Amino acid sequence: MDVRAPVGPCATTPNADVAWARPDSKGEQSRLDDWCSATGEPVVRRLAVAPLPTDVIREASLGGGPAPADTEVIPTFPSIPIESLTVATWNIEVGTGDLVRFLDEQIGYSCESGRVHGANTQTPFVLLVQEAHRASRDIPEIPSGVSLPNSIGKSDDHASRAEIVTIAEQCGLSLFYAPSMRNGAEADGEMPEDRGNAILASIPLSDLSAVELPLETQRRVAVAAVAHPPGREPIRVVSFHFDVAANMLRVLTTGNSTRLRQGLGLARALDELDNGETRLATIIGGDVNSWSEKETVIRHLSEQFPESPRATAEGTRGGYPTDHIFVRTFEGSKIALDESSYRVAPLEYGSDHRGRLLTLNFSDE
Amino acid sequence: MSTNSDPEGSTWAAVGGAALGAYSGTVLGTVGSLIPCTRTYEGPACVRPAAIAGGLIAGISGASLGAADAGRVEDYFVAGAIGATVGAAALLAIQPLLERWSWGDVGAGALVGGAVASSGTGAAIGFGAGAVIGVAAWQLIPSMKLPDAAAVTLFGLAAGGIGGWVFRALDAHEIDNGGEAAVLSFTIRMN
Repeated sequence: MDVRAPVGPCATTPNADVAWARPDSKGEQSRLDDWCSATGEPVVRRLAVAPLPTDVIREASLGGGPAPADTEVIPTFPSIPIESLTVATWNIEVGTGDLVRFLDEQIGYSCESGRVHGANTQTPFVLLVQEAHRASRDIPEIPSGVSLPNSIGKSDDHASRAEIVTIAEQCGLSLFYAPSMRNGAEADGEMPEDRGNAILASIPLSDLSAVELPLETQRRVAVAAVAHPPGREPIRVVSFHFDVAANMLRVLTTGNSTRLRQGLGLARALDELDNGETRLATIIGGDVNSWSEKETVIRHLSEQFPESPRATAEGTRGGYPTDHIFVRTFEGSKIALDESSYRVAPLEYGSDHRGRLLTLNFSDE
Repeated sequence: MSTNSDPEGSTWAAVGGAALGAYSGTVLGTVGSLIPCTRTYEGPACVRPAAIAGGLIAGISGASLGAADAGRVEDYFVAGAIGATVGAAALLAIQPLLERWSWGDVGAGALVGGAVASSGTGAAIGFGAGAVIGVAAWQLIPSMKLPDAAAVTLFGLAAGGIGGWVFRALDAHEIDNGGEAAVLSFTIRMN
């Protein structure tokens, strides 16, 4: 992977610096650019945080510990150090999943309160979202000669859909969304849509990165950010979505290495983002599209993220364990995974996937 | 069995049989190991030895067959050509159902179709047995899922196809050496 400065219209993000990483291969870059040309710009929403009553503030924190060198200065908020952080991953089937209800019932975060008062950092969470979508007139016309993926979620049985930018505003949350592809071609008069991965959080996000995964079937852009739990060390969080399968010829000639190649490409890009100097605990979560918890890519990611919870066979898309979270800390880190907290949400909340959640605990020692 | 049996083998038939067998066995070894290997740490690196082993076994068998019976090798080439055509046509037919499609996929369909058809009844028997066992296991064992049934089916196809090449070579040599062909004999008694 090649970490680079934004290049071209696809990698421009007004009011936000996004570091881009992509495969080294010029051929892949050219095809990725074709995919990218039919999508809009990434979206960044900075956090508005509810102020805490002064008598609650025992020890003012600068909102998330030391920022890595050469990074933007994040907004700071007085807050008390938190005890734990919930991290969840959920494929919301292009807006069909009821995020507001999921946040309320699975994480205990009230969007109504967030909208009125600003995000409550004392209910800290990071939600790694796949198949988020954005509908906007700002999405460009479809360039001629560019082939598009099929749309998802536009049929009548997906009538109720919420786009990710609206949800972030409605709930008062941080958002980093980078589209991977256009959501099919739109009918006359229909709002253009694109879809991809996103990070929603009740805590500030900084150091945003978009990682174009090795191109197998569709363009896949993993989104990465540094999350700042109040009073605690920052954590890199990443939302990703691998391809289901490559075409038949590629499956035969590569030994079905589609998801492994994308997983290793993502891991390598994250290593390069860390630049060998910055030591951040890293949590990656997403839709692996795996049929089994024993798949090669899961074994390799578990090795590269050694503090990961044990991958389980419990189905998150029907009976298939497609969604997983992987964890990497470092020596001296004050973050510990509560393995018993790793669970699958009991409901799909309108999506075709169930979310996975885990809890990270922070210690003072 | 053969429609063109010619118990006179030749060097060229041996070379042709080796090439056809190696191609068929390599493709079948790949197809049969894809899903099981996806469950291992090695992944694609596990598919490679399966493909090589399949190619070697079927290639040696094909050479041996050609050395004993050139006519049967000719038959299997014809069967392979028909299978390749059917495989390519199948990929063309399902084109409207695929989100991404390329002529390379049509080629892959031809590759698999040719490999399966040239391996003959062995692949068919293996496929059938694999499907029965796979589906039964899927239904009876709670931890088994549909991809596991597919894995057993494809493994059966591959094992049957590669085994078929071995059986053909042994069969041809048995006839060549004056032995009996592997034909089941039976008697019809009229009461």
